[in-house]
Amino acid sequence: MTMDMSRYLGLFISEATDHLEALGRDLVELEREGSSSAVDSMFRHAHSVKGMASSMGFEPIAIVAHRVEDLVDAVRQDRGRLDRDLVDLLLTAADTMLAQVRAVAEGKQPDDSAALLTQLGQRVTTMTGQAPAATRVAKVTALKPEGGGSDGTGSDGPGGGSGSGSDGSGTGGGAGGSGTAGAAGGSGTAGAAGGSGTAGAAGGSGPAGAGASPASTHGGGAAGSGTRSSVVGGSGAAGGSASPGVANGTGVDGAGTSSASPNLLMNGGPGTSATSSAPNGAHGTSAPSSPDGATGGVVVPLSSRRASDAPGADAGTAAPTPDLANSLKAAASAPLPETLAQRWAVRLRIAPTCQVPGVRAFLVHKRLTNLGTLVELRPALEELKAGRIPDGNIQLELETPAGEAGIHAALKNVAEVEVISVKPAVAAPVVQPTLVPVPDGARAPADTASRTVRVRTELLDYFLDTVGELMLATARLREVGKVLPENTRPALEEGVYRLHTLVKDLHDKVMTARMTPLSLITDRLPRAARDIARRKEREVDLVITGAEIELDRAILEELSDPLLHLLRNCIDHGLEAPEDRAAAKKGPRGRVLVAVKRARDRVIIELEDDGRGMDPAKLKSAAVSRGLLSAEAAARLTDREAFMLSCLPGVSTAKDITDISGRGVGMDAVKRVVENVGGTLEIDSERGRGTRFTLRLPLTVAVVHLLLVEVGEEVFGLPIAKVVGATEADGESLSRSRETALLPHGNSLLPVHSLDALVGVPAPQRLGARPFVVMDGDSGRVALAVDRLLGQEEVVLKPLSRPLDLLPGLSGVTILGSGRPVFILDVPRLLSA
Amino acid sequence: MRHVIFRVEKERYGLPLSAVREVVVPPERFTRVPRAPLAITGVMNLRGRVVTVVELRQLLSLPEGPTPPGRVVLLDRGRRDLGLLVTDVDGIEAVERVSTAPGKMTPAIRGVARLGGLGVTVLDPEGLDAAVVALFTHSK
Repeated sequence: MTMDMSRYLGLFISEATDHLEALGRDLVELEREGSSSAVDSMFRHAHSVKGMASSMGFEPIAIVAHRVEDLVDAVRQDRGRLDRDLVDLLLTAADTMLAQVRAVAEGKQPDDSAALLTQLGQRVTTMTGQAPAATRVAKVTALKPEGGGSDGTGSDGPGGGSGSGSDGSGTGGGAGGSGTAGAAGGSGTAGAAGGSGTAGAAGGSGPAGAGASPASTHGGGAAGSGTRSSVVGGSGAAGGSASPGVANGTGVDGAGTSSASPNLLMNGGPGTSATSSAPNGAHGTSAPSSPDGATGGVVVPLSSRRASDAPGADAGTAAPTPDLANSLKAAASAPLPETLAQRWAVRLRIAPTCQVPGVRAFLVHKRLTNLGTLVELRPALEELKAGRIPDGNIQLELETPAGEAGIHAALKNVAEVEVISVKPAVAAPVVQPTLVPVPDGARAPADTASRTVRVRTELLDYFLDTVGELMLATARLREVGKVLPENTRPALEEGVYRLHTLVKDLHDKVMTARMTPLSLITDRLPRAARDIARRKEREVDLVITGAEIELDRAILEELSDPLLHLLRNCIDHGLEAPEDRAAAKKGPRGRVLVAVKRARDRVIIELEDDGRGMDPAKLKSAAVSRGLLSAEAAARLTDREAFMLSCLPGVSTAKDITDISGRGVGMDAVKRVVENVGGTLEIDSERGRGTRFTLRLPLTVAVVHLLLVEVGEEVFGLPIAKVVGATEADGESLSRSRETALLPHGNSLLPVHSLDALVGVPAPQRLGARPFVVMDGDSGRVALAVDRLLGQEEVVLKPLSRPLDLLPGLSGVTILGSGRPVFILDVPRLLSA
Repeated sequence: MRHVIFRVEKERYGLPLSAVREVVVPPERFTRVPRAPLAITGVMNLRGRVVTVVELRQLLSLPEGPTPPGRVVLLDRGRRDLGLLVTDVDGIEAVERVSTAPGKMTPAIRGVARLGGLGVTVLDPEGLDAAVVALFTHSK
């Protein structure tokens, strides 16, 4: 592989992974609902993967993708052909391709998966009555930075040569377009798209290889917002100017290598270009990034609103071909500059006496975006919302048909805001107005199209670490300042204070950048649900709501496995077999609901099934028979407390308790993970009605309150949430039972564990009075003997990296103000492991 | 290939340059890791990151003895924050032709090579990684 290719390899891996995961999701959706949009979308994904893989020279992947494309196409023509076996086959193919892409990511050659190909080929033959066509694959080394010659359509269509012709902007589109744009459509006139010069825009019309007759002259220009690509400023617009010679702008579809919005399919059929901006916006954002860190990326929205907010984002993609042609004609015939919403330069001032400048500014922003498209805004919206407005001056440029009077009217009722001037402004040559009369009335102002960049996740982690280090450094500076002579101190303290504010601000921003929608992990659940249900021969409907809610990436990553565990529990053990359901007068299909909600500073995830529910009595007797609980204590437990017993390791793995067996497989792990990120787990259940797991999670990496204790020379943190109290006693004078010392506490006796032995740290023998920390354990309270209590501290929890996460009994690590790393102990796990 | 050459007592070892992120001076004291295997010296704070430091001597099951804490060689293994405690770092040298090492085969050792007339044991970063994980998983 030449150097040229390796530049695009990372992009290929992440894009192809996105497409393949989406393909799997679509399949599951299709099987469930049979919607035609899913078929189209599947076809698109398969086609894109084929195109990318062939332009990258990964023949095995391209061939599999080609077969999948054939099969999906056959299904598209006759829905009746889709059966379970075909879905299985296609899912296997998607998995195989994912594995192949992963192999590529690891620098290996992808397997040619001959067995699968034979199966796929046979299926193609039986379904279409024709032998599968050969897949043409580009010669990798021939890849040039410009020209779309190696795109997917090129392999079976009229050739991609015209693709490069459509690169009106000349910034190098098509397969080779690296970080910049492939802008297309027309001759680069106002009709062409281009989000601030670097947009991913693509021209395309006519179905690949088929319909596009040479005489067809509509050079459609469609632009994707490039949400999932590394395009900066990739908002876009559609436009078509009827300029000859730009037909068949197939350039972009070799998209694996082109960073210009590869989600866009220029394959004609779907009227991607019919919608105005961000036709793929919603699509892109919901696509998960690849699971492994190497290729994983998070999309950081640069603009205030995300592309998924863009209305009608998917509507256009499902539009049939004739509509495409019509709208293109409409676009082409639209007289351009005259009906252009005019651009106005507006200057405003917020009264200096205003107590809430941020609110006023936000109101202004809202009013004006209702009126038209905000092209420029100074200060930026973020700043405005935060009330950081130098001298109260706001400048903006707005494109609106409303005119001067309209602008004045819109701002009339905003208190404490003075309109200084409204003047016509000269539009910059490359703008993205919503030119096209959008058929379905979708209106997407340019600033709603997410201006995003793809950032490696490691980089985000690095940012957070570095900001943390900055905070630490600031704290140290402040300490140094304390020993300075009085007269020099104020200047330094002022500086340190300023630094402190800035660093805090930066920290907030970094945290914001790390917020990732839950769809990143919930998108995998439908597929998992299908697989589990298929294995158990159950029917299940999985409903997911609120997946767009965001959480810190670190927390999100931790949650992936627990959610899967819970889902498996719901389907495997919560839902009854169909005949039992019928007996219980329930529908044959089980239902699992995953609802994500936001409640103040927490995110709540609920997983609910309508199955048989849990039996508290059985859980209690299981716990008692395992010796985890006395019969009396069990009798005192409420039902809710009893459900939590399923999270005890001993109970959860109890295979012999039929009703709950497996109910707890990994439940202890689930609970631990949730608590380690600073959240809580609750279980609610009603016999015969179902079970609900509620996860309450912090939005960002947990700030935890710790009680710091000293043992020997080491310091450890105990989560305050679990600490009941502390007392002092003479360890030698305590009474004992079977070698275990007992500490009187309240009206009970608590078993004493000495922390040094628990953590395996040497500490000198202590005589006389010493402190004990009383904590909540899994099965009642315990007392920990420590050497010294050092006090409470609020710290930022860091997750444990390999290999430390393999150790039982640690829930995280933090760095104290002194720079000393301190482990946070998970006492129940320490006691049980 | 260029290798970072370092010493554990008198023996010389090499790691591919690409596998080494940096070499740092160890802190005065390490934070001990509860219940960790003996070979784990502890963790240290490296510019805000918590790095696990492993005593190379123990990892390679060399005879017991105190390693005077000379240098920590930080591995660049993705996000795995791992450092090796060694006696000293000699420098960077090109190492060619690695032949089989004497003694028991372990995945952490690629082989031995000749360097300036002396032998150097060439380590395998992935194998080292696996050896560390194995320490944690077998100790239970």
